[in-house]
Formats: sequence, C-alpha cells, structure tokens
Amino acid sequence: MSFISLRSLSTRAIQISNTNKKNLLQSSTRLYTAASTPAKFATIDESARAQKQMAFGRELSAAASNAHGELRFDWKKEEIDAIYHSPIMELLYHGANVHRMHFDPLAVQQCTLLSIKTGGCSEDCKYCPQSSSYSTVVKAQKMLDTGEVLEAARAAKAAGSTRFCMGAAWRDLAGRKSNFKKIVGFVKEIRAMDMEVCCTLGMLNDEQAGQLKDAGLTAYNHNLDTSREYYPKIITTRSYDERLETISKVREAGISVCSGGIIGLGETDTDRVGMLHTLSTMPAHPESVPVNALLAVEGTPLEKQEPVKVWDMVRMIATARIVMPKTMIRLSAGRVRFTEPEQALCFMAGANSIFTGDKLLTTPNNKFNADQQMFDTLG
Amino acid sequence: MSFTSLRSLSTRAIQISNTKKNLLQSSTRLYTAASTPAKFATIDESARAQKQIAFGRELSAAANNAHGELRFDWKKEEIDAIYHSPIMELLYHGANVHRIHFDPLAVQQCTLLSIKTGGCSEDCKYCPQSSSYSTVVKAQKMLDTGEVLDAARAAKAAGSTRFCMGAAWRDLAGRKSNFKKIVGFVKEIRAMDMEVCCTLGMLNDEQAGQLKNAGLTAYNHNLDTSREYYPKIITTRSYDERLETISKVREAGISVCSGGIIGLGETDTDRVGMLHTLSTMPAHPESVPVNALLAVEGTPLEKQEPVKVWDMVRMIATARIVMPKTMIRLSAGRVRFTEPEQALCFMAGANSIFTGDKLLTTPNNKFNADQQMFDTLGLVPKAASFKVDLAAESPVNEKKECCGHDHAHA
Repeated sequence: MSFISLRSLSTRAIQISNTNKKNLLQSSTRLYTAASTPAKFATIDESARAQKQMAFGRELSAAASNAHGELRFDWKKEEIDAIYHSPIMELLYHGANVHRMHFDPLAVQQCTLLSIKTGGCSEDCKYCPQSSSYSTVVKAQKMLDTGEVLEAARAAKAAGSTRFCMGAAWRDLAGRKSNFKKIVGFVKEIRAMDMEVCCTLGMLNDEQAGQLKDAGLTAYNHNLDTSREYYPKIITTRSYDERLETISKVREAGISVCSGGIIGLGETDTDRVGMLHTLSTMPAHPESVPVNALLAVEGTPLEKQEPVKVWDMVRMIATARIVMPKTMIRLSAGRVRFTEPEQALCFMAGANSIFTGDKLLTTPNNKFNADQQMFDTLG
Repeated sequence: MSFTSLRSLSTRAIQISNTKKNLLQSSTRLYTAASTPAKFATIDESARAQKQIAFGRELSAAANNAHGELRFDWKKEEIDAIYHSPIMELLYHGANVHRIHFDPLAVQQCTLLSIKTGGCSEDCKYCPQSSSYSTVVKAQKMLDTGEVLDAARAAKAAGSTRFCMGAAWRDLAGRKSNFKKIVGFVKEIRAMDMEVCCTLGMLNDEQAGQLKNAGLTAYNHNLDTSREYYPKIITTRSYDERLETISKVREAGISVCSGGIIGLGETDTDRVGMLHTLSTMPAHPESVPVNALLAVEGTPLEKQEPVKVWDMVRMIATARIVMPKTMIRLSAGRVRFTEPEQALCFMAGANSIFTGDKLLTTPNNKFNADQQMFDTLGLVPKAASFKVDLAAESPVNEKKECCGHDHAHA
C-alpha cells in the first residue's frame, strides 16, 4: 500500500476514534441536559484549574492536591496534617468538591437521638455529665420503657427523621441481659417503621453484635473521641484499644460503623489529625463520622473549656470529607451554638448529616423549627 | 489491503490518539512535581452534573450557567433563575466561576476617601450627604492636597492597592479649579504606584479624557438599583444620565466601576434588573461594588431593615456567574457582617473590599479586624494591576462590537 493511503487510513482511524468519543460525550451530554435548558458546563477540569492556580504563583494547597475523591486507606499523618492546615477558603472549596463527587449536594440526613438510659455511668469520660464520677445536674435514671422509646421513634419519623439513634450510658452490657433484650426488641420495632436504627451502648462482644445485626440494626456508634495520644487525658476507665476492638466487632458483624469524636477538649491540632488518621486508616472507612463540638457542662472536669470556633469545625469537617470521601459527616453535639451562616460553612465543607429534635443525650440541640427554616434558607 | 491490516492500522491510529491522552497525564505529573505526588479530581463539571442528575435533582440555574465565559446577551429570566438557585448551589458555583479567572485566595484591598463631603444637590434617598435631608453630615469644602496625599500614602503603607476618592457632587460644572486639583491628585497618587479611582458624579468627554491622561485607573458611577426602582430612590438624576456617564468613562478608556445598593426596599426583580443592565453593557464593568444599605438617620430610608447575608450571597454569586472576570467588591455595609458571613461572601465570588476605618460617611470594619480575618481565612492581598483589566480588553462581545467607536482599549 502506498504511504499516503496508510496515513489517510490512520487519520481516518483517529477521526473515527475522536468522533466516537466526542459524539458519545455530546450525546450523553444532550441526554442529561434534556431536562434543563440548553446549558454549557464548565469543562475546565480540576487539573486545568490547578494549573491556573499555579499560574498565579501559588503552590497548590494540600486540600487541593488531595481532593480527588477516591477512597484511600493508607493516609499518612503528615498528609492529613497538611490538608488540615490548608487555607480555610481552600478547605471549604475542596471539601465541597469531594462531597459533590459522591453525594447529592443539597441533601442532609436528619437523625434523631434519644437517651434511653441516662446518667449513673461507671466510666469517667471528662466531657460527660452522665459519669457518676462527676457531680452534675444529670441524675441517674433507669432505662426508658418500650412505650416511651417507640413513641419517640414514631414522633421522629413523623418529623422527617430517617435515622433513630438510641444511646445508653453504660460501659458495656455485662449483666444487663434483660435490658439488652429489650433494646434488641426496640431495634426490630423501629426498623419495622422503615427508619434506620442506630445504637450506642458501650463496648460489645461478638454475640451481642450478632444479635443486634439480626434484629436489623443499621449502624452502631462507638466514638474514638480523640487521638490515641490525648485519649488518656480524657478517659482512664476504658482504653483506646478497647474502643478499636468494639469497632472491629461491629464491622465484622456487618453493622455499619459510626465513629467520630469531640473537639474542644483541650487537644491540639495534632490530636485532631491523629483521630482522623485512625479513622481513615481502618480496614474500612466508617459509614459515618460524628463531629462534636464540646459543650462544656458544669460539674465535669472540662467545664471551663473555651467554646469551639467555627473555623476549627470547618477544618475538621473538610479534612474528614477529603480523607473519607464516601463517609457521612455528621454535625452532632454543639451545633446549637452555631449560627446559620456558620452551619452553612460546615455544610459547604462537606458535612451532610445533623441531629434534629430539641435534645441530644444531655445537651440541647437546635430548635426543630429553626432547622426547618435553615433547610429552607439554604435550599 | 487485507481487512486484517486495515484493522491493525486503525488500532495503531487509535493507539496514537490515546498516546495523546498519556501526554496529558504526564503533563499532569509535570506540574504536580512541586507538590507531593497528587492526583487531581479529573471529574469535570459535566460528569459532576451527570451525577447530580443521577440523584434525581434537576441542575440549578447556577450550575447550568457556571461556565465562566463572558456573555453580554444575558436575558433577565436567566439571571433571575440563577439568583433564585439554592444558596448552597450559588456558593459552590460562584466559587467555581471565580476560580476559573482569579486566584482564589486573593482579595483586593481598596481605600476610600471622601474628598468633598456633604452639601450635595442630588436627592438620593440612601445618602446622608444630600442637602435635602437633615442628617449628622455637615457640608464641607474639598480637602486640600496635603490631606489627600497623606491619606493615600497611609493607605499604601497599610497595604491598599487602590485609592478611591469620592466627592459629593452632581457633576463638575463650575468646579474647574477643584477638578484641576483632583487631576493633580490622580497624577500624584498614580505615581505612588497605586491604582487610582474617582467618583465625582456625572462627567463629560473632556473631563473623562483629562482624568485618563492623568493616569486614572477606574471611575465609579453606580447604577444603584434597577431602572424600574430607580425613580423611587433618586429624582434629580435619571438612569439614562448614569448610563451615559458610564459610556463616556468606557469610551475614554477608563475602567468602569459600577454597582449598586441592596436593601433600599427593592424586590429581587430589581436586583436582577440591575445585574442585567450591568452584564449586558458593551463590556462588563471592571468592578461591581455591592453595597448593603446602612440606614442613616435623617434619610428617607432610615427605617429600612438590615440586609441579610443570604441576600448578599445571592447578589454576589449571581454577579460573579454572569460577569466572570469582573471584580466583585464588598463595599458599604460589610461592617455589619461577621467573619463567617464574610467568608460566605468570598466563597460566592467577592474578591475586593475597602479597608480603613471609614467609607464615605459610614463606618467600615476595623483595619486590624480585617487583617485578622485575612489571616483566619488564608486570604492574601491582591497585587495592583496597571494593565488594562480583562473586562475592558477582552472582546466585548462575540461580534467584536465595542461601542461603535474606533479606538484602542489601551
């Protein structure tokens, strides 16, 4: 064959290849823009955008560099630390970017939390007014009865909540066979209401985990609270490894893991990064990570802690979002202290779950109507 | 040629084509050499949009229009749809468009000096400088050269890159000597390597020319609000007179700074209307100041409800999306907003502020508080730029029509 023909064939082949790709892309573009008015999407992808940023003479932030949205389980502490310390505006933007890769950007999960057994806890967690070690306004109570619990669940569902969480102030379930049996019953009933069910009941063994799984439990919460290094300053009656062990058992039983922590306990940035490192290097990322801002309660050793600033929440949330792209990031305790604009920043950074309802375990939550208003305002 | 060979040739051709893709990937590796090995999000907007639709959600107008390209033919309905997109969408897509053209962490710092205060013959209802209203603002003569240049030097020392001088006048008729002084100010301040801006009321061609020759960077002449609502706010000057002055500024080759005020009692439609007028001019303004009314006692608008941050976000994000290369300036009223609220404004696409304790007649955020905010948010000051701004030098619309004049934008 003549040289010219070969070239023309190659050219033709390239044309076909390009046309196919382009047409495919265009026709699929046409398909999914049929719903809206003819639109042009910003086709500058992240790499070009990054290139532009470098054209401004600015090195890419760690947040930008790591905002690929893919699941990694091998994060190094230094990487997470670099992300955490990126400029706030970068964390906000790239947190939002990663969030939008996996989630409907306007959807925020609404959960309701009920304390089914309050106070009189044998552990000594320094932030918690339920500990019997501290003299606080919280009085020890027996577990709620079935009627109360199921009513609360029904009310939560009616109010639009899609996950019902039950918390009991216990170290573990040893010697609580009948209470546990009741709880397994709660789980079955609430699951039958077509709601996600979650529990936080202290440490678990394999058998208990299995029973909860069989009853239909969606998720089990067991927070790490903080970094391994800072942990002993906060709790002495239970070890970090015991917590990791319970989380393992939950995971192995096939229950979704909900595990996060509290900021504002007096920890350093390094501790916050350390906690995120532990969470993001587990065999699987937790299904959800609650981020609590300490509400200092009178009577607890941490009663004099400075309130958490919104910028610390933003750093925590955005970093969690970037290193665990498919995990629900939940604004939990302490949200009540933040204004609507501050909460908007948290949602921007990648938070996509909140507790609704007037109370959490022992601390107040945002008023239900105020939350509905906020959803309306922010869209 | 046998069929097999044809196929192998095609395959080879496709391989060659794919190699181009590899080149792209390796260039990715090249420019990430500066940072730790990184993978960029390669999902482009169209895929992201596809995902959103996979959630069963129609794309917001903000999303649909966040392409970052200059358009001069916006329809009011399009801008209205963008304006009414969900807040979270406006924040995100405002940020997207912003990052297409601007360093995302750079915020321009300008300083505003009132060089002639009070005693104004116009009747703008928001303004305590009008002689029609009895307010705490007393009429004063123009500041002298020493005061003005001192203020400029102080502004520069404080990190400001643009110095703006405002005089409460309808126009410069019969103010020849004052105007001469101002032209002198412009020369001097330009020589300090700062951008210079004036707002002196209506201009004629000759005055515009003189200012241009003196080195004026930009001239401000706000539209204030929509054409429809405008008569409720000012009766002594018409909307067309304002548009005319803006034209003269543009024709003289001076950057146009024009924006408005929200919270005057206007509707969303009026806000959209103003953005429509600005974004369909022959060229987008170089900057658009967005003021939140600070209701001043003695003015007819003294009882207006303060502007909510969400209205600012809608205004800023919409302005950013429809005028992607324009500086969006948080102007009067910023003092009322908290740091988180300002962060939302920057997210939405605002990239310029006034620094210094005072604006024309209203207080501004404390200088130290602003430095603190920059530090908290990771913002950096934007450098002064003396080449003609993008909005003016870019083709003014697809057909390369300017204002009908044959001149260079230089």
